[in-house]
Amino acid sequence: MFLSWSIMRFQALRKSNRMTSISRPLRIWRLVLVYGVMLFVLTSIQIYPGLWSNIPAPDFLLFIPLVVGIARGGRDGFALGLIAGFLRDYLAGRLYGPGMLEGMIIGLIAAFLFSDIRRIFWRRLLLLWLGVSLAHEFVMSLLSYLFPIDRDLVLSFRTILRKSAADLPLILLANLFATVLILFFLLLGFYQRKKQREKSGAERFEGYNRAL
Amino acid sequence: MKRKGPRIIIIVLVTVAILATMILTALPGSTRTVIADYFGRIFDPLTSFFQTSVASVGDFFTAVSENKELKHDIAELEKENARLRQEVRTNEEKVKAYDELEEALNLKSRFEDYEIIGGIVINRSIGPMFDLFRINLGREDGIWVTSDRSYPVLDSQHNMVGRLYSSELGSSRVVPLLHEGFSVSSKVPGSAGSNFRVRGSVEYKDQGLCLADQILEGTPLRVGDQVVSTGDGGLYPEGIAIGTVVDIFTDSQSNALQALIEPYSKLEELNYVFVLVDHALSSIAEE
Repeated sequence: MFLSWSIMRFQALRKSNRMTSISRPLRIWRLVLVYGVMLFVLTSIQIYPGLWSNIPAPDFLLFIPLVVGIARGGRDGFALGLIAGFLRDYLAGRLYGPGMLEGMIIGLIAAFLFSDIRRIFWRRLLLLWLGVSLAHEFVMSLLSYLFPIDRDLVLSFRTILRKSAADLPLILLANLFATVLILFFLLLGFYQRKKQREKSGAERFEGYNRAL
Repeated sequence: MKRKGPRIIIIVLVTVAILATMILTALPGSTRTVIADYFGRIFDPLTSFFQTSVASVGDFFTAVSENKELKHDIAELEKENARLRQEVRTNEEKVKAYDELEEALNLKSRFEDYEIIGGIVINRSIGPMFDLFRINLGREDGIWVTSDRSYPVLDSQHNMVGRLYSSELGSSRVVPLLHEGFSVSSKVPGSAGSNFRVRGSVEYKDQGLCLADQILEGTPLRVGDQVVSTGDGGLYPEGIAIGTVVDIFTDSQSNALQALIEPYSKLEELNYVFVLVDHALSSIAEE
């Protein structure tokens, strides 16, 4: 009797340690609706003229594929990375492609690190937040150096990198805010009532089949 | 239930397609794409609608909170209005005299040969590589940016904002004057033959300053001087106000005289811009 109680208790604890509401399987229309609204609203906030004149804007277009990828795994991060990247290229890019490529890679890496176990999820999310923010600043500085608007312009990579790194603490904070807001959006969009949760039981994806 | 990731062949195909797009759009003279034309037709109005909605909601709350203040202001304005009406009547005669004088001397307005088209800023720049901003004027408005043709962009006070980088069907991207890819031949008003270059600089971009270089010895340049465009090069007409000189120094590496210019235009606060379209230039290009 004690053994069966222990097993039940362990299962309940294990269940509560999982982020099943975000990572559970969902109908395609719900995914499209939540992702569509989230992309539109957060992008509009990010690019709103005059809103972020004194502090760096939270980079939602960079972090949407990351958070979706790590929270849901599979193809979602990959697809959203391409869409968010295209938006970035279209809105403010000098050429089409770098944003899409970056978004796709972030979505894939995030999905590779997918986990619905709360503790692992938060650890990996924090690691990705730091890694992606730093890598993004470095790659964008490198691209600005390699693809200047004026081809006759002599630029110093060191100067670009130094200028880019000057605001790094604020950028990291802004991106942390972006990550939290996107997670909140996902929790809200994929909210499941307690009754339904109990009814559906432990319906969730059993790990990430990368098919690579 | 297993969660499936994208197949490796799909990832490879998408990567190849992206790289091809990147190369195609990086080639000189190929700044427009068909996809962006159609995408912009849907996305730009949506973004503008969102901005209008946010502004409307903001205006509503501002209106409620400042209602008392407004009542007081209205009373003050009515008094001022009465005084100004009186002043207008007095000045009407002077205006008539000025018009006659202008006609007689054949004075030209500042940008008489140009058509001025007003537009709205759709979005701000996003980061180091994504540093252009977008306005809601495009090829539908008669703006055709090519590799050898661009248009000056000004603010509501006719101060320099930048130049157009590319034009799509309903929107265009702007290179701001703080950007390292921007440069304009400049002078201090009234100083003939002492031209220098004002350009964006990676070093001073964050401080909101431009760099003036190629300054010849004997150029009458002092801190506090106004800097305007010279009209050389054909893109920017003469006399567009750029900014004020805030510092003059000698570059330690080249030993050349340089100056820092604070632009008049506040780029981060811009909502409306004006594009100067030179129809004479368009007809030459079409020929």
